[in-house]
Amino acid sequence: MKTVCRIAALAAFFTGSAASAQQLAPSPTLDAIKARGHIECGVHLGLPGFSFANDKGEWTGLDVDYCKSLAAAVLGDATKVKFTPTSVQQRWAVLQSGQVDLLSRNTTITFSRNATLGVNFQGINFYEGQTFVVRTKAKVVAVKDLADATICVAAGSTEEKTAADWFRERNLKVTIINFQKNDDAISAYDQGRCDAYTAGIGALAGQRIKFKDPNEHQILTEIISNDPQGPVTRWGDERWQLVVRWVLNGTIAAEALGVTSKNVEEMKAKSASSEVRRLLGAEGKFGQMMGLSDDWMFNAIKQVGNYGESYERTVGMGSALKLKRGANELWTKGGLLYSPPFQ
Amino acid sequence: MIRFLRDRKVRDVLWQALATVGLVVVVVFFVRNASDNMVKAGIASGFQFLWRDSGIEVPFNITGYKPSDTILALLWTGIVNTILVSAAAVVVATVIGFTVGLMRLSHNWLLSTLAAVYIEFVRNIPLLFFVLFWYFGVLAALPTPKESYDFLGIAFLNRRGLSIPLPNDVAGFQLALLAIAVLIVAQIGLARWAKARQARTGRDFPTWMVGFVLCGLLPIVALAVAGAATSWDVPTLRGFNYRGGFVLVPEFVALFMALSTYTAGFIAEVVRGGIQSVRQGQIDAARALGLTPGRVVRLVVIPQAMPVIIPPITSQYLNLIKNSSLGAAIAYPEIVAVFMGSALVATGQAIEIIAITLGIYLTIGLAVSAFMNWYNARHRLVTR
Amino acid sequence: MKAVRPPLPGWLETLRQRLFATPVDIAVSFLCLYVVWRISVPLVDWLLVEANWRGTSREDCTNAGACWVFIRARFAQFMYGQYPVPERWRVDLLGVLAVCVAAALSWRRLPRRREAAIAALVVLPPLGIWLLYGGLGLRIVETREWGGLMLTLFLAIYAGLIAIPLGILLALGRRSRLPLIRFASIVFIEFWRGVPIITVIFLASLLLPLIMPTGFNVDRLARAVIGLAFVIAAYMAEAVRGGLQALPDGQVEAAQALGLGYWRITRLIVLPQALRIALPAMTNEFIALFKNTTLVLIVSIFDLLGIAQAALADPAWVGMNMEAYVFAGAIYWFACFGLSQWSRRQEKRLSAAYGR
Repeated sequence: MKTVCRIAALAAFFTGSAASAQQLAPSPTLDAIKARGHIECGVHLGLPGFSFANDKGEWTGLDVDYCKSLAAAVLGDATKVKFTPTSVQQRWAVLQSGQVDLLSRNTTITFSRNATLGVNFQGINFYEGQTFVVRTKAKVVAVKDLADATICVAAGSTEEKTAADWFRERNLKVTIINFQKNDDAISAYDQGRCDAYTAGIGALAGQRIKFKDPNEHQILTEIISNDPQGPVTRWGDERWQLVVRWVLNGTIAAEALGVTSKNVEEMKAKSASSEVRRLLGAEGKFGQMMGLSDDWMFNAIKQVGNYGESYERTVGMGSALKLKRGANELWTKGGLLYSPPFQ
Repeated sequence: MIRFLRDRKVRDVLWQALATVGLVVVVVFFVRNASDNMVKAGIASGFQFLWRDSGIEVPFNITGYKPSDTILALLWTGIVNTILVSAAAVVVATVIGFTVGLMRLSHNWLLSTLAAVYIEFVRNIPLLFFVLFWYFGVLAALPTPKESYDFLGIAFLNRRGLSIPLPNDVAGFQLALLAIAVLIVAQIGLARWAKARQARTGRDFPTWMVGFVLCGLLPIVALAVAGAATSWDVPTLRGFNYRGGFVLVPEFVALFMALSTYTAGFIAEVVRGGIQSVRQGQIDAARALGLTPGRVVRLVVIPQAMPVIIPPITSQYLNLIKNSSLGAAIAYPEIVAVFMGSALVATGQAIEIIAITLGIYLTIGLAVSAFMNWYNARHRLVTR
Repeated sequence: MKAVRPPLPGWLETLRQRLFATPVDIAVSFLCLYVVWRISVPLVDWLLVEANWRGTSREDCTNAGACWVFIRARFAQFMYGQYPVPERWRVDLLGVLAVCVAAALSWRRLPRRREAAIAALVVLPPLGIWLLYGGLGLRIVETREWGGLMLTLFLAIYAGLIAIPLGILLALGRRSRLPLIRFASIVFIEFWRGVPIITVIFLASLLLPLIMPTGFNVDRLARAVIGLAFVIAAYMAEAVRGGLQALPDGQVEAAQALGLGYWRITRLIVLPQALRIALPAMTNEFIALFKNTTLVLIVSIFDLLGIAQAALADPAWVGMNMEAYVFAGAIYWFACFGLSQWSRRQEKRLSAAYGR
């Protein structure tokens, strides 16, 4: 009897391992993450609301939250993530050379980046739109009033190109000054070097508090571009890309399905919806298909929360930025957020 | 075998062979890793990107560069800007450095102490501090465009820089420059003739006075005539800023001031050392001959100090050129900022861009060293 | 006929001779006094008289002068960066240890001073890394959490520790009689001397990960140390070469006549003398290195200046640029000035010893 059990166990083991070997493509990134015990996440140098370290070195923000969700999904613990602040210029090299596993730092998805830099964009966690901040006393209402103005911008950002193109297309002349770091551009604008500083409307809401007197400045409501932003990975290692993509989808799906950090345990146990059950690992073994544990999204939601919770806490009404959901609302509520089905 | 190894020549060859093999192995190892990693990461390689459109704005350029030009043109603009700020700073740093160096040697205690304080202050603080200080200091001290300092209604100074008029047509100026060139050639000929005559007959000729008129006053007249004959693009206040003419941006001014005042501290020490190396007997002898103090310095001290001064001052010039790369910290569009910064982000081709940048600095450095060596060789004292 | 002035009594005469000898001198002296007056009065006002010393937040800075409250509130960060608070004793311990050892070694009558110095050089650097980084029973503190003055000192000292031996080897290589080694040394030295440090730091941070085998990651800080060390090694090599050249040929010839081999001559005869001569020049290169560590902020490593800038981005302390820069600048100034004075003293002692 004992022997039979042993043989059965061995057989089960072999078929099991053979099955998983068949399904799972090798993933050096995931292996490395599990070996070192934490995720290396490339973030912005300091953008309140998105990725910002306080004076104790604790990181908060929407982009930071995403990496925490990822850590919870992959390693079961949202604190097992380390953040590498990167400048606009450094970010690609830092990602390409493998110093970080992914970038989650207000990076706009563009064609040429995707085509030439060896990077893939894994979805959208923030729909950004570019605008300008100006001094209130300059009496600027629309962007076109900025003709002949001097504009400070971070070199190598999409904002630099978008602003240049926008004014050129309208035959308006502006002077654009490129700074190596966002903060340099901001302080130069604050010192009066420029008439305007340009960035995404969400980013500006956070950066505005860096001015000497925030009340002297106003953010224009006109948007001159769409800048969808989301996590970025290197080419290759499809299974890791899969994880990055579906954790983001999962946080959005959780909001759409009404799963929050408060009710996640109850939902997993009692929900009648199959999609909820599959998302939380109560059925379907979705986690295993990617080489994770089945409670991957359960951990992510429990420890970090769904997209909506994270948004409110970092950039929304529960934060200093007070950004409305706008385009970053679920599609069912008039926004653009949408997760493919967990089926 | 051991005897064979004891032979010095054989050992020399072996050592060198070993070193070469080691070096080759290391280089091959790195290059192979790099190419592997790049293929894996899907990073493009090659130098084709230089001919792509850059799309990057450069607010300060004298090359006529536009964002629709190629990245190669962007690189050239960066090089020109590096040379521009370095050349200007080298001249001013030399002038300040010689002045402070001479002040340091003054017998007036206050003057020499003041010079010493300046030297010790400047030499012991990182240059980056000075660059940031001048930039934000300059910005804070200047008025907004609407309240600009107005110079006769043609030039304006404000936080956006110094706007000066530009000629719409350069034909008149080309003529004027030609005239100036002729004047300079005439002056050189005259000086040679005067020197030869003095050597022959001992009669002095007021070369300096004539030179002042020929090369100082007449060119101004020529330029004034040319200026009056052409139409000018005078800056005018439109909306936020002065438009038209040429704008000397605050980034340039800040970098220029930082580089020249910082390097001057080092040059002053070089000058002091050089002058102290001239033996006191030389100065006493010159005084005994009845030369005025100014002439003692100009004809006896400086010519003998120069061979001591020139090699270290050359390395200070080279340092200054390399230090101009700190312009990247304040958005001055020099090589590092536009090429290693903006172009690198736009293309992602780190290896090629770094190689080109290093190559350019090495070339500039070699050119300057070669020139200074040539200058030093020409002006070396003929010791008898 | 010039009227001969009777000498004034004592210090007044000295004063007259050094400041008021001629009418031009008098004018120059008064001009200098005026300049000093114009600069120092507002400076002292801002730095001390009108400055704010007490309080905890920006609102406590009510006077027109500097707001030193900011420095007080941020002092720990300026020193340690984000180094975890409960582990900071390790940094302090290392600092105290290093200062004690340096003090002991500079005492000239220490018994077995030479052996002690070698032992310190062998033991202290690894010990320092262990204390700062951790492992073997200590909690690991990753380099990304280091910052401020401790990082600046770490960069300078460890880059110097690599650069000095490398520089000596390069200098020897440049004077080698083997053409290939000479050539390789010259190329190395001239290459690193010819390029700006900012580009080298870029190079190290972008290229090092690319040329290493996959999966082999060089730490961010280590990369900066290596980049800085290579450049400074090239400059050090030139300083050492100066020392080598100053050595009379007779020394080597005498040693050769005694039948000593190349390495023993170098170790026993050439280097001890050449390094002593080159010490002031090498100290100057070290000062340059110390100042150049500021450039690492270009690759987002938060040294003293980087931490100062990061503190400026804190919304609670906006507009403290001057205070931050003056404080950080003063630290650099005292460190560099102290070093250069020390180097000058060495130079004097040296020229006295060699009778030059």
